[in-house]
Amino acid sequence: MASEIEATSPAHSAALRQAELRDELLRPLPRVTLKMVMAVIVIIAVYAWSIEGTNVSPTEFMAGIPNIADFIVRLFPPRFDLETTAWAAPAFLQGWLGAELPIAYPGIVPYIIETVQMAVIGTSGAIILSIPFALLAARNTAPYPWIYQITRMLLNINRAIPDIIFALIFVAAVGLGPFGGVMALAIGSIGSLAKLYAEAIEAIDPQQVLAVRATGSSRMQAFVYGVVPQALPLAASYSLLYFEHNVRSATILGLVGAGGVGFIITKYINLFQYRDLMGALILIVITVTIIDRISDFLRKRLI
Amino acid sequence: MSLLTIQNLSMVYANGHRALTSVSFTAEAGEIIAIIGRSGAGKSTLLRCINGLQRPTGGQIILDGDDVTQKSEAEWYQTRRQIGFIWQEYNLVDRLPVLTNVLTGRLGYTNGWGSLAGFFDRSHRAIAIRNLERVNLLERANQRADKLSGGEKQRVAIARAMSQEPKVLLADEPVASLDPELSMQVMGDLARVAREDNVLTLINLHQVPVAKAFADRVIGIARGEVVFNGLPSELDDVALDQIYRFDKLSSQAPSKQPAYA
Repeated sequence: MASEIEATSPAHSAALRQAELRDELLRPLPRVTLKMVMAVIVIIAVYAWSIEGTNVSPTEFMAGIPNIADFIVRLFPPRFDLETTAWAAPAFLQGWLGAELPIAYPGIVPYIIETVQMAVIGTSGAIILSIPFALLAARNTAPYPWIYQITRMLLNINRAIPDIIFALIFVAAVGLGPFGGVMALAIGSIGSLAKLYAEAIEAIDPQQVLAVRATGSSRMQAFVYGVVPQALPLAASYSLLYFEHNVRSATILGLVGAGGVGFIITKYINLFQYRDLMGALILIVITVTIIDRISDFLRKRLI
Repeated sequence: MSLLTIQNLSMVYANGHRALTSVSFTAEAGEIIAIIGRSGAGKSTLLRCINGLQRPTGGQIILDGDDVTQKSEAEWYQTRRQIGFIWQEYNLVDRLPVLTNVLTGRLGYTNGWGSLAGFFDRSHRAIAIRNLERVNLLERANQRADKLSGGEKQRVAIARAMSQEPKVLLADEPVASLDPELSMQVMGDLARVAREDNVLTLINLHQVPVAKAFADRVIGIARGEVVFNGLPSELDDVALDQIYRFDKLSSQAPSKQPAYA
C-alpha cells in the first residue's frame, strides 16, 4: 500500500519523466513516426506523378545525344554577321585617314546595347514603382493587416504573369520597338521586386526603429531614420540582382517585337543561320558576364 | 609543470594597436582565475590568443607542455577541443535545438560523415545529456535555442563547453549581459561544473565583486600588462587603482573612493 502511494508522489513521477526524457534523447536516430512515413510516401508520389507527366526518360535522352551533337556541330564555327558603317573622321585627322572610314561591326551589337538600355530604364522604373508596394507588403510597415494581405495578393498575381505577356500588351499599346519592352520590364518586375524589398524591410531590427519612435518622431520620420538605413543595403543588392535578371529577360522580349536582341535571334533561328546564332550568343554571354561582374562588385561594396 | 604557462605574450595588431605588451603568468589545473581590467586593457585579446582565434605577435603560450603559438591552423583543430570558450553573447546557434547545441561540443571528437548528417552516437549523447542536467536544463533539450532566456542560454553554453571535456575553459565576460541575480547564478553554475571536472578556468570579468566571490585567484591587466596577480582577498584599493585608475594616479597615495569594492 505504502509503495503505491510513493509511486504516484509528484517527486517520483518527475524523476520518472526525467528518466524517460533521458532515454528518448539518447536515441541516435529519431523515432520513425507515422507522420514521417506519410511524408515520405507523399514525396515519392509527387515525384512519380511528375515523372509520369513529363515523360522523363533517361533512355530517350541517351538516344537523343547524337542529335544534340549534330546541332552543336551546325553552330560552329561561329560567324559574326558584319555590317559596315561610314565614320566621318574629324577634320584634323582627315588628311591622314581620308574623309570617311568604313568601320565593320557585328550587326547584333546595336541590339545588345539596346537590350542593356531597356534593362536600365525598365529596372529603374520598376524600382520606383515597387517602393510603395513594398511598404504595404511588409508586415512591419503595412498600416493594417488587410492591406498587407491584399498587396501580397496583387504582387503574386503580377509575378504569375510572364514578362512576355506584358510585352505583348505594351507592344499593342505603344507599338513595336524597345519602348514596349521597357514598359513590360517596369511593370512585370514590380511583383518580384516589391516582394524582395518587403522581405528586406521585414528583416530589420525593430528595436532600432523603436528607439527612433521613442524620440517622438512620426511614423514617416521613423521609417526614414530607422527602417531605410537598415533595409537599404539588402534592397540595393536585390535591385542589382534584378537588373541582371532583366538584362537576360530582355533578350527574349524581342520575340514579340518588344525590342532588344531577341528579334535578331528569332530571325537567325527561323532562317537556320545557326553559325550567326552562335556568334550572337557569344557576344550576349560576354555582355551578361561583364554586367554580372560589375554588379557583383557594386553589391559587395553595398553590404 | 603548470598546466598553462604564458610568457611575455604580446599582441600588436596590423593597424599598430598594441593590445598586449608583455603578459606572463602560470595557472594550474582546476584553478578558477578571474581576469579584470578596463575595457580595451587586452583581456579579450588574451583569451583569443590562448585558444588560437588570434595569433600573438610575440611570447609563448605553453598548454600542457606544448607551445601552442607554434601550431599551424590544422594542428589547432586538435588543440581547440581541449579549450572550451564561453562568449558574452552566448553564441548558441539559434535555430538548432538545445541538445544539438550542446552536442556541437562533441564535434571535435567526431570526424565521420555521421556528424554532418546530425548523427551522434549514444556515448556522445550521454555526455551532452549529463552536462545539460548539470546546469538543470534537461527539460529544455528539444526546444530551439532562441526560445531560451539569457541566463538559460549561457547555461546551455556552459554545457556545450563542458561537453568538450576541456582542460581549459575560457569565458569572455560571461555574465555582462545578465542582471546581478542571474549573474551570480550563472557564475555559480560555471564555477561548480569547472571545479567538479577539475578544469582550469579563466574568466574575464567587469564586476569586481563577482570576481571576488568566485575566483581562487585574480589577475589584473592594465595597458597590456599584468599589474596584479594574487588572492581575491589581497585585491585592495591600491591594487584596484593600479588596474582601473592608472591614468589618474598621482605620485602619492591611492584615491579615497573605493568605487569598485
